[in-house]
Amino acid sequence: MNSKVTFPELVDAVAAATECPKRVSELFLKELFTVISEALRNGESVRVRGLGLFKLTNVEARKSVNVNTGEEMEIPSHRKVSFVPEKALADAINAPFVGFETVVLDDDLSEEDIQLMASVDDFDTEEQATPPTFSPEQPSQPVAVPIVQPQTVEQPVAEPIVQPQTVEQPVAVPIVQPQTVEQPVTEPIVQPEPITEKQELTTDTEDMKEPLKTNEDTDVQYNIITPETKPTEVEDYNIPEDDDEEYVTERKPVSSEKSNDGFMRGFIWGAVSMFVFYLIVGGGYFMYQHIQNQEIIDTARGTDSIEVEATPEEVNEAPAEPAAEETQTADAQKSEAEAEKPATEPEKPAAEPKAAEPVYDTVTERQFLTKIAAKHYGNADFWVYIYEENRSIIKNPNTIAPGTKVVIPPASKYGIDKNNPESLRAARKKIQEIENKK
Amino acid sequence: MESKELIDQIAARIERSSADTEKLLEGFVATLKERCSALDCIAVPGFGTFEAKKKSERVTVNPASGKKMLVPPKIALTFKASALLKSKLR
Repeated sequence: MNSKVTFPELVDAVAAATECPKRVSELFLKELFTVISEALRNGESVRVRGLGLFKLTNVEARKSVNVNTGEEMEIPSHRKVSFVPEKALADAINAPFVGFETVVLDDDLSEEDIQLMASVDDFDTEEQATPPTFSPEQPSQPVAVPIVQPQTVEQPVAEPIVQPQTVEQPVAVPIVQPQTVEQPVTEPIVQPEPITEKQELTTDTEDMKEPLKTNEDTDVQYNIITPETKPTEVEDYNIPEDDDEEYVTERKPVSSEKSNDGFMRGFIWGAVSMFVFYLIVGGGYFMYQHIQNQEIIDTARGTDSIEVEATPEEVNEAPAEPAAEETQTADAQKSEAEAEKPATEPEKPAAEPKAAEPVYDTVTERQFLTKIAAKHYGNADFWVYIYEENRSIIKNPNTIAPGTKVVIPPASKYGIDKNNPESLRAARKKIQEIENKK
Repeated sequence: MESKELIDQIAARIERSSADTEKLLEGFVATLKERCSALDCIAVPGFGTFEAKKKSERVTVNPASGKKMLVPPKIALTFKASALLKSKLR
């Protein structure tokens, strides 16, 4: 295969084929090529039956550069031989591929399809190739890549657009962590006030979001939430703030991304990766904080005889809650709020039927003492009594770890009556007392 | 120069009949076909080399219709003139 047949070998082969002496064969071949070259030198084209046509073509003078010196030079006009094999001969040599015809491809043919076709072609040629020494695969493989290239050109264009999205998705997950942990921290500030005000606050934040929302998706909304949730702990301050800064720098290039600048793309990448890094660090820190809180609560609960049975359940619930939260991040904010309700509702029927036993409820990212109080007593102000009942596990009503299970005291124990203004006043007075104590 | 003319000239030079020369030429073409089908190359000193080259399949675009076409692979017989022949032609 691919070996070079030298002249003596050719002489032998021709002699064998024609059953002539080698001497005659050699003489003939020498004369054949001399005659042809002489005819060509005389400017004649030579047609050899069964072989093809040797013809002369004129090459016009053209300018070029010497590759070594870089000097300009002119290649003078000259003649060159071009050989056109006869159809029969060409077909005979092309026998392995005679069956193939040029195929019109679909416009939307993907790159994989072509590669698949290429591999199929290679397979076919291997099967059809009559000489066993024939190997079309080796030359075809490197060439197959450039063939695909015109189509792959589209891919790098498409990819950067996709990549930010794929990056954002993992981003959305860690974002939840600081939020889930922190909200209870900020919430109690609002707690002393009635629920209606709290709702106003949430709508306010939504208003804040709307102008900024633009074309960004869920991810953006969470970013805006983070500055709102940062408070109290000074160390935490830096992390959300950095996130925010990072976010601002990131957002601009994203919006102008359609210009498809390579540099911009790199910049966005850098910004996004930095953003992700900060989020992971922040998330990790909050998780650590959360776990510590949990431990304190657990140890505190260890001494409390009433709560002992609740602990295993609570441990189970703690990891389950963030998981539920994560799935919801994919949805829009509103749908998330809606989804939250069914998540909490199953607890209610579980808690309420056993009125004789102590009633339990769980503090979550979205359900604080106020909400629990509103649910059980009809007024958020009665949260103080829940706090009172759970003093042993709640150190600070403003910072309760989500997942904390609290005992809901029976309404009669503290004389709770939402319709009695006296009872409400007493509750508010108690709130005031707690505020003042701090 | 047509084939018949070529054969006559060669026949005169090797002092053989045109029929014999034609037979020899046929033998040469048969040999060339056989060897080139095996992707060998035949080198004739002072004249050039005959070589069968595999051309890979490729996708072309018809400039008129803009349609993409898959051109199948093929084995083409090529001839490359030797330096000596080239210099003679210059």
